[in-house]
Amino acid sequence: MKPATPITTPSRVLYDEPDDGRPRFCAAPGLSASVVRRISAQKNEPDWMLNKRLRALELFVKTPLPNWGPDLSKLNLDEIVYFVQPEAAESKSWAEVPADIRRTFDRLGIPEAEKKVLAGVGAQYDSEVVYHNIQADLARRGVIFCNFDTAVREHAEIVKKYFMTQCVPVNDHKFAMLHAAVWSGGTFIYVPKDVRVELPLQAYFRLNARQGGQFEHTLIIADEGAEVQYIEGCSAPRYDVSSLHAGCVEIFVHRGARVRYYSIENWSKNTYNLNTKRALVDEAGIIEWVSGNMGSGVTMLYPASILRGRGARSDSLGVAFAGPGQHQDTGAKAIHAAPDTKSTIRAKSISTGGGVCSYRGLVRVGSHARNSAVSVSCDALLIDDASVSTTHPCMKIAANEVDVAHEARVGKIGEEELFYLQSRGLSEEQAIQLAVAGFIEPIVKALPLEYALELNRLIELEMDGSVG
Amino acid sequence: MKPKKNTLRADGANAGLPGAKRSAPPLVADLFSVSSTNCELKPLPEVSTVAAAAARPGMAGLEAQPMFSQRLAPPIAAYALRITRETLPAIDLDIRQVKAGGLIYLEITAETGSTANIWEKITAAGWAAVIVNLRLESQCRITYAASQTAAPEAGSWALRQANVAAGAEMTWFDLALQGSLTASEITTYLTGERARGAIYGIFSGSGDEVRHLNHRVEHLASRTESNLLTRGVLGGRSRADYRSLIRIAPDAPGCRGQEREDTLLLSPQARIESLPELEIRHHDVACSHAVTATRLDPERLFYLQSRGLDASAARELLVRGHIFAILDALPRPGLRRSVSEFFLSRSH
Repeated sequence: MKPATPITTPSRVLYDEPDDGRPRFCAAPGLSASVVRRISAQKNEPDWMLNKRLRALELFVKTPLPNWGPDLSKLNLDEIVYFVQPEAAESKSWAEVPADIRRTFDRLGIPEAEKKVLAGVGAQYDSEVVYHNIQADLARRGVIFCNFDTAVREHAEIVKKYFMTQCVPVNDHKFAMLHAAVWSGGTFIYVPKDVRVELPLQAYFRLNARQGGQFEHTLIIADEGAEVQYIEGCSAPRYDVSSLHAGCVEIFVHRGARVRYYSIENWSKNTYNLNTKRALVDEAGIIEWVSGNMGSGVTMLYPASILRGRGARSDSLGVAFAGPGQHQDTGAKAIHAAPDTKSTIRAKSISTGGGVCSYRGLVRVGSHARNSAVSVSCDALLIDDASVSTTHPCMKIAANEVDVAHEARVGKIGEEELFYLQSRGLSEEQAIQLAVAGFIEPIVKALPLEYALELNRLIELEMDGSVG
Repeated sequence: MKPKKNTLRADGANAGLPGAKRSAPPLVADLFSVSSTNCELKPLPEVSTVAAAAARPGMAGLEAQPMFSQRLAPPIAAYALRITRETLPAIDLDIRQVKAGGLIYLEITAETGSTANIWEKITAAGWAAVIVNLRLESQCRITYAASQTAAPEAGSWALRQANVAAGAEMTWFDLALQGSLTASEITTYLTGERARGAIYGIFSGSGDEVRHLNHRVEHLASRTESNLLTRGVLGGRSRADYRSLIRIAPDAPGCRGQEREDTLLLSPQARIESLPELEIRHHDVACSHAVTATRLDPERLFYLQSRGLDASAARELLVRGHIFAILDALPRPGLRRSVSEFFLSRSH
């Protein structure tokens, strides 16, 4: 099938337009125990899940908003629609998906991506995953890749053990509580012992309803010696009312396992993206985070790695882009709780047209983490004089057999660099775009091809008209 | 004018000498002494409460400082020191003794084109609280070294700030060496074009000592430059909390700033928390920061021992090497010697 819009001609419209999707069930705005009960009933959930939701709701109501970081005062939690179910039930084949929903994904290039032999595609349209596919041989090897709602029904024992228990507990912070109360859809991945999934698994999340909230839950479990890569793309159309995305990603990397998690988040400019991502890494396990944050009005996102087994490793790469009116408060956390652990964090940010990029990070080395190494570097690029960059890296070191290094640089694009490029015939705008592409190159290089293309295109798109 | 050697004592014992008045309120006896020539010291009797100090130019927000909360408030001993072009550069401020709960407020004005080299020593046997409010007029160069070697069971709170006019240069040395708890906050406001500000620090902790250092530079004018560099050595169960901030205002193009902090952790129970922040609101800027926390490198220790040094001498040499960049930059030979001797005598 040919995508409706060729992948090489990006336009912001492609991501911003809502479809006239007819929701089958749409909860009234605002949050209450009855909304939570209805969501749970709609999904035929077991009692333990409903109880967990209600407990989280109780905590959420009691907990104040965070008093640090970006301004959340314009976020009206009572106006958010907490659950919207699109008309389609989950389908196994692309042709069965209703035409308008399919069109949305076509525009985003999903089937195209699948053709490039991605191992499976799960796309979340509003709150439920409408399409899921997994290659037969993966299923045969025992890999589970499914909608999270399905996982609650079919893999109850394993979900009950891992879902918001030790990695991101329900009472972790205000938006984790909210997530636990109203979560819907998402992805569940289980890779059995010593199974290596060579091709990346992929899902796309899209927020379509006005004032909608998207609260997908991603749970990845890599059993001992397993290996998996997972790619997530996220977007939302532009409405004149704010919407909210409060997802949660929990990753368990068991002994000797390796998980690489990619995400490109491109929510529209009036979305609050308050996301929680965390990995628990056991002995000799490796977690790799690759994230791009493009869209959203306000983002607060700090993927965290808790290195609890000897020799565990974490590698975090991130790029954030803030245009007019955007505040990207992103960063990374690494908690070293075992000896011989190692973490590296590389973050890049670009601010233009009055955008604000903040790096906020935490590195904590506990007293048991002998012989650990930490390396953090962040670079920020400021394109014009209305833009802002701030850096808040916190290092808490309680062990002495460690090597910890952090560095950051903030600056503008070199004048000589621009002059040279222009002397070679590029326009000022092209020269700036090229310099920006060079700046984020280490991150783009880590992405699979079509995502690298998308990231570059998105940044070009955002930079468009920001010069001169 | 011929320079006259004056030793001014702030306790009123030097009454009759120019600049000191018998009417100085002896709130805190034998507070500190200033030795220099041709600088003018006079008491500020009107500044007798924290609220009055907060009303002085550039001191707004003082009352919100937790370290100067009510229990530390009066009595205040306040003095104004004026540095002119005739002042001999070396000025010693000796803070020997402060009555329980006593607070010293010192306002220093450096006239256009003046140069001074100030060494503030807190050697008090009890707790000492100090507020220093410096104002640098254009084109002057002031170095201010504060060394805290209070008695091991005592400590100090200090809030020091400088307002730096065009073309002037302010260099701080924050030497938090001894005392059960020292808290030091230094802020430099670069308010004039091409003003420069540097804050250098050494902190040392052993036993259960606690160090709080907070260094900030506010770039409020164009083409201003800052440099922050601190080296720490922590042993025993000591803890340090180092915070720094470089902030570039939206209307301050062409600024440069760098901050760096390196901690040497000598024992597994020592703890360091660092939070070096940057806040940049103008794109024409070059700023960087870096933080490290390391141990004594076993390979270097081995190498030095293979060259004939015993283990403790090798350790001493590496510790000295760690702080040497700042030790070497200290402005006065006497100060350099005293810091150097302190590190020799201290077993971390």
